[in-house]
Amino acid sequence: MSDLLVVDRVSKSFKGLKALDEISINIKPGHIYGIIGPNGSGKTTLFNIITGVLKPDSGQVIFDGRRIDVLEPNSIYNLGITRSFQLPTLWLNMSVAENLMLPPKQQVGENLRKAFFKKAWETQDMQLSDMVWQTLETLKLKQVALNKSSEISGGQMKLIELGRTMMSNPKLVLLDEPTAGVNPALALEIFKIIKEIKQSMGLTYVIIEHRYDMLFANADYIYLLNEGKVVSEGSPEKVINDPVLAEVYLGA
Amino acid sequence: MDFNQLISIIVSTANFYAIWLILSLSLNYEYGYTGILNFGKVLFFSLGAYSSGFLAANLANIMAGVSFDICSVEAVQLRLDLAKAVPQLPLLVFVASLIMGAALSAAVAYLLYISTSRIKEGFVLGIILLSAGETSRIVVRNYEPVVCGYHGLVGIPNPYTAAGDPTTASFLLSITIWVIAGVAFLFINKLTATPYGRKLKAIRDNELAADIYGKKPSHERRKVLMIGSAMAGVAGVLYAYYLGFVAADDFTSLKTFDIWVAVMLGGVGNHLGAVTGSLVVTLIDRGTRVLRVFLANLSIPLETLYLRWIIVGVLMLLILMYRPAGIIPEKSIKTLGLLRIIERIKREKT
Repeated sequence: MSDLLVVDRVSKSFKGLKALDEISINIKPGHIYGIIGPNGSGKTTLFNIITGVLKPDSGQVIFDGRRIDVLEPNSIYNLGITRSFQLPTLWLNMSVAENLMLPPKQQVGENLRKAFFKKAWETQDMQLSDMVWQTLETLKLKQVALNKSSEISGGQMKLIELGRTMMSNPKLVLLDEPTAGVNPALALEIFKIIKEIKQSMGLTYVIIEHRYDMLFANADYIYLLNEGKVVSEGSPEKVINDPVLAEVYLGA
Repeated sequence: MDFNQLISIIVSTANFYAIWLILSLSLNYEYGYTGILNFGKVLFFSLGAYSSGFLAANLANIMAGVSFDICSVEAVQLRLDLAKAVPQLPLLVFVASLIMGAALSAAVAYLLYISTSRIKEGFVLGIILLSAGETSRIVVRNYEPVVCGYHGLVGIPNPYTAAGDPTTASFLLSITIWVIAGVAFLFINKLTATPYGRKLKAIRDNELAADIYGKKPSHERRKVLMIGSAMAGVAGVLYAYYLGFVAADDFTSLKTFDIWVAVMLGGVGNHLGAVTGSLVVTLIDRGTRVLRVFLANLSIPLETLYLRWIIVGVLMLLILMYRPAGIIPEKSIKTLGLLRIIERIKREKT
């Protein structure tokens, strides 16, 4: 099967600090990929490059046969890549429900001119509310749905981060530590949800995660990053048994 | 104080309120919904007023086929005579001014916006707008061909000169001002009580997240600033026609901050807040002026105009301390979809 996403020898440095060093990864559709590595190994920078938040110094990113590293984040989103953030970046003065109503693409009512014609968008907005309701149910967030998203707990914020990616009907989902700050039972639940969505909708996930037990149990393929390079890759069993893993983490 | 005086105070307060309301609604649309720090509101307000003065003066010259200095006494007389001779003309010029004021403001907003659009920090645009407002005031104040510089341009005829009687004409103008303010309120409400309004609030709350979720922050902000500025331009035209007079020094940045006070007092991100806030600001502004005349009649030598600043300052402090979200705090945009979710939650609770 052809690759959904190709990161081709991408480099990025910040004032001399090399965050990514000619990194290349290939993502095939319909799988769950895990990205691991110590702090500062370039995991989040990689996500920022793929989603257009940062522009690479060199190299290119190809999604669905199209070069995307020159595009704006909003265009990349519309091509089908969605992501969550490590630190929740919610719309804090808006309710949880509204936070979930925003991601869906092609909302007629968001158009400046069409907004005046209620009839043009009301049906769509109603259908949207059904999707939001389902997401709230899956994430067990119904009791806080009408609270401002600044009023809820940190763990719940992470859940909304995940919820927003569920609402955006993407092809590829990048999750940046989806279970950080979430209790273990809920973390297991999150991975269960991810697997379910992957199976039912055929989505592709790339997950940065520090809970290796859960990641290794669920991912199909692991990339181990260190100092902006891929130092090991393969099935979870292969990476776990790779002596490089211990070397990277323990500096041995 | 006799009855006629009271009526005229009420009508003039209502006129000022209507003009303030348009400005507050436009700022609330820009800042309250989209997070644009428009510290240059007065610039767009003044562009509307300048358009009116400039058009009225120069069209009169062109129509009469003369080339008077627009600031001369002859030119003023010509404008008033021409209005009497062709009573429909002022109304046409008024409508043309509304169009020109709105278009010019929107165009300037566009240019100023794109000049800073590569810089992500919103306050840069705010400072650019602030300084553009002051710069344009100082230029117009010293460059007579626009609206007669320091002295200002007088003799903008009432658009309803055709009505004959001056009282009727000024009453018709007042009604026009109120109707336009009402339309502005309905327009902005209809526009923002929608998924579009929701999108703007997302851009305001977190630009990065909005961009990542497919909204176009810069693109939307530019449009919002243009629409908001066009509204301010319309308010400026109404202001010039209501006073019959335009002077650059009327448009200091203090006016911008009056509008900010109105929006902050009333409640950011809520149009009813702008309605309330601008009412409070207008009442304080007009009230202190009336009080001054009243005290002067009683021979009490007290300058109440400064009282205005004290009252506004104290009110602002009290609001920030006890009701930081304003008199009427922001509410969720209740689109049909959200209403349905609210309903479902209610049903589950019972």
